[in-house]
Amino acid sequence: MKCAEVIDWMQRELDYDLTEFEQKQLKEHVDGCLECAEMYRRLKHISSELEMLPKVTPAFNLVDAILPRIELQDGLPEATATSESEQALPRSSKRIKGFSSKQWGGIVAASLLLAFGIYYYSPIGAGVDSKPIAADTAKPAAKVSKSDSHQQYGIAAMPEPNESSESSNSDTAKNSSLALAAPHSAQQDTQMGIASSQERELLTSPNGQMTAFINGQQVLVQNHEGKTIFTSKLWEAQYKLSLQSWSEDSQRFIYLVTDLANEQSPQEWEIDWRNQTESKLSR
Amino acid sequence: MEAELIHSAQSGDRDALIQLLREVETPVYRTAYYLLGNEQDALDAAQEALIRIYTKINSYQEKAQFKTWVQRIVTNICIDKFRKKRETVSIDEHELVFPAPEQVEDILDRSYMASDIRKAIAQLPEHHRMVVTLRYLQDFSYNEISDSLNLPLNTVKSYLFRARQHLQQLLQDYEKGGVRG
Repeated sequence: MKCAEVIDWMQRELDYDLTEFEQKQLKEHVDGCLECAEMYRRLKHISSELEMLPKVTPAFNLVDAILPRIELQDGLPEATATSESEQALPRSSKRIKGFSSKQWGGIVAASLLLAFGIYYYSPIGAGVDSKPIAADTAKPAAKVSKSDSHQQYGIAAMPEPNESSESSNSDTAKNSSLALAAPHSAQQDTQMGIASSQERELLTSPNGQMTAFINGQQVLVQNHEGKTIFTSKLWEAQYKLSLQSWSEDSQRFIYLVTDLANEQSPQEWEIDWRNQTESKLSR
Repeated sequence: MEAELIHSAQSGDRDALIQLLREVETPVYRTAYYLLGNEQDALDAAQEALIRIYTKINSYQEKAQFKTWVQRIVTNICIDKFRKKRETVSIDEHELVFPAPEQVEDILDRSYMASDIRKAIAQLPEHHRMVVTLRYLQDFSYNEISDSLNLPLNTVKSYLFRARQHLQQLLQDYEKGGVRG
């Protein structure tokens, strides 16, 4: 047996791919060949190191983190939900059977607005002294427990699919009237000039058609109908997001990302909702 | 069990689909982590993969194993990210395949001790790294790797063997104190 051939067998042995007979032959060769014995030792060492690599797990529940996105995505135009990389995979129908996706998107968007609407509305109106859960951007995603994750993302009000359409419709109507309070407060913010990032949780575009706000660790842009037209990337808990400004033509929106782990000046990220892109601005 | 879940998910049972996603979440993340070499990119890629599984569940066909289909999705997303990284970091062809040690340090997650073996994995060409990840982190057989990556069986073996050969060479270099750039 030649040494080159033996090395191939060593490799196969590491993957439990040798027959008993082959194992025996390999052993005979290795016992009589110093060089191959050394190579076998090293390969076995590598293989056991690879077997001992840490079985890493995600720092937070990824499915809970994407739930709001997949629900919103069902109501978005196709262009935003696809990526060029899918070419390598078999293509088929985009929509999942059994879901009325447009309806879902609308309901979820309305529910989101409800959550934000309550936040802005309650101190002025009903005098409810509740903590703003949905707009609490500083809460690290990693610490979201299963039970409160829905509230975190402001989808607590989302009706179950089996609920009667009548009740969902009336809920939606209520939601939109409540949500009207939100853009108003944003308007005041812009008029007042530059407020601190903590105070500005929501910003309306100069043409009054678009609203940007922070939801969990993402920035969302909604149109005048309350439909989410852009969702930023999902930032890790260590990043603090704050809203910055709209471009004059209401097409682009800038938000700031502060890395709480590193004391560096915040990065500026620009959302171009029309082109469905976002990118870091270089200074 | 899994087959039932998949079937329900494909018939529009949202809860079944979500449960299915929960079951694959960790394996998906693990592959992304070892392919991309840092936690932040892995979290992004894994979430992207889960969303894609969600939207593409009806394109899954039973003739393939579900776990290999899932791994194909996450590896495709990682390949995309490699390419994007390559476009943003303009480095030459050689450095692409064997990044300089300081770049490797950068790529590796700082929250973990960057052991020699991890440094060495980060230096493997992408396809070799994928084969190694599926073999050792997912415990996949040659056939399963071949299905996941859509590569011929012999190519899988050849990549895996060359990867281990390369890794042992790199580790030997580290032991000698001279790290290749």
